[in-house]
Amino acid sequence: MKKLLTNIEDNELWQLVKVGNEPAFEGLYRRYFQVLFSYGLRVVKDEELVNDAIQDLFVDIWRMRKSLSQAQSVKFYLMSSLRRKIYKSLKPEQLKGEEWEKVSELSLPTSASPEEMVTAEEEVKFQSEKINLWLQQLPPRQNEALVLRFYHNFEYAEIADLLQIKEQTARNLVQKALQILRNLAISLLFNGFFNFFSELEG
Amino acid sequence: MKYSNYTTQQFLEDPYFRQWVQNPDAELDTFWLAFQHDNPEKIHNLIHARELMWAIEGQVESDFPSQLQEDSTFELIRNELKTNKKIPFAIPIWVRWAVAASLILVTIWWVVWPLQSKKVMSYESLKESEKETLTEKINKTTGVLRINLADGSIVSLQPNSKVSFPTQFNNGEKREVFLSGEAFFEVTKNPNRPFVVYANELITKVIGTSFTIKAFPKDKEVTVNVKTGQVSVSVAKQATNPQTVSQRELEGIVLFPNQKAVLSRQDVRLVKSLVENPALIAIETPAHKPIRGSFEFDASPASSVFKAIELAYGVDIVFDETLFSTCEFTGNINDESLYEKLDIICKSIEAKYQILDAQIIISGKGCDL
Repeated sequence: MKKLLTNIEDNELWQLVKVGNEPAFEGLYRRYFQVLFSYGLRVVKDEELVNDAIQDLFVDIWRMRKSLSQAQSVKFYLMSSLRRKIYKSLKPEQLKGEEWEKVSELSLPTSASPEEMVTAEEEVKFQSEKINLWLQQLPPRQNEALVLRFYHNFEYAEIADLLQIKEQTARNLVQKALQILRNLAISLLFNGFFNFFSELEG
Repeated sequence: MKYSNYTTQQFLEDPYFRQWVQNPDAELDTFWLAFQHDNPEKIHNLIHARELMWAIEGQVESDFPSQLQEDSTFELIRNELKTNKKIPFAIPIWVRWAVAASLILVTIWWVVWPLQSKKVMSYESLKESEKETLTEKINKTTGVLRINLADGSIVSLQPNSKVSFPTQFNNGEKREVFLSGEAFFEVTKNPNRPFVVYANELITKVIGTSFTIKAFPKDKEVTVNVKTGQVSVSVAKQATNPQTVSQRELEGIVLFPNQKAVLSRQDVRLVKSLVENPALIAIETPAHKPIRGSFEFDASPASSVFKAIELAYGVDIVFDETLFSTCEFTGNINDESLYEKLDIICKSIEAKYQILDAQIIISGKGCDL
């Protein structure tokens, strides 16, 4: 996580922007530009469109600063506003249906029992170099849920709003993603042992 | 203490844990260090959770735009607010660069040519086939020659070595460098222009990291040693014999800090192992501060000893927990190198270790009398 350069909390920055403080406005922009761009790219893979949407977002924020609401989470506000702006500028054919809503909730796992989780734990050996590849193999929405939860630290209610899904679905996405990663790790361990033993018998 | 029974997933879901990984401070370090000391069997859960968080972080931050893009866009915002006219940002193809070095993994890439017979590739032949005008730097001194590339990367060239790169280094989709000899590379991060080093038959591709490549013309081997970050190394496809080359060698191998790959040029085999002197890396705090005095054991179970080493050196130790469950180790091995530590521990528990594919495998009969 990028270390923030100033000591000012998000909420203070936000207040300062509301009363028209220009350095605070720039500070807010610089604090979030990279994160917003990276997030925008996950909504749509179009760099110029995303950049454009961020431009629009900040122009609007300044123009309408007096009527800005009291943002609970500034980052959440910025990201969900960006998402809305991006969707507005997408052509109809670019708009994907909310695919993950259609996934039957029955096919997503309910939370594992404590016993299950502990057993899986003991067998797991995450191979660090493989994790990156595995992350990319996850269905995009699961990958996204992991990012929103474990990088952006959003609550499940916020994740649900950003992905436009139910809160339980958001929890299921994270659960399922971790389960897949565990299974990949276990099968790797099994293969690893197999190779090791065949080397011994050699 | 609620954390004593936590699974990896529970650690991940815990804000206090995530805060420690993402933004450590003294208070967090103290707490989690103490926790690890009191609950060594939980260390591997912490490692796994942390590794996943780091992988996710790498993925997100690899998409980060450049400083130039950030500055330019803000100018456009400022301009639009002043003039009420909107000019959209057109992302220039010619240059996007960020100076912050970062740890990014790239996917494998290698030269694809129709396979005929094995071909020994050399610095000179690679240079010849390059269309662009090249600048060459040769180190004829007995010291290290530092070369600054136009993108901010630094090449520290060893004696009797030479490096070539396109004179117009900031053009083109890739940053390409040809090496003969040995050099240490510190590569600035640029996700849009991968940095590729051609050294004999080995191709090393990175986005931003630091590593050493050794590829003298007369060498029978080409070596890549990773200091920070991750690199992927692969074998130039034309150098391989389709009958004997393995899928893995073609697809390439990913190397992490303290790992190295050695390409045997004749056999065209790429072997991954640990570097000669593995250094202590990220240890009990994510802030990567090495902790002295963490290798003092008093009748500690073998599994905690091995886990402490894993954590300290960032290596993988594979051992049968049940077999070694009755083994205990007592001793102070703070000042030993990694291999010396392993020697001492193994001798004490009557085991042996071997390095296989950059993993340390422990074998023995256990300690039941």
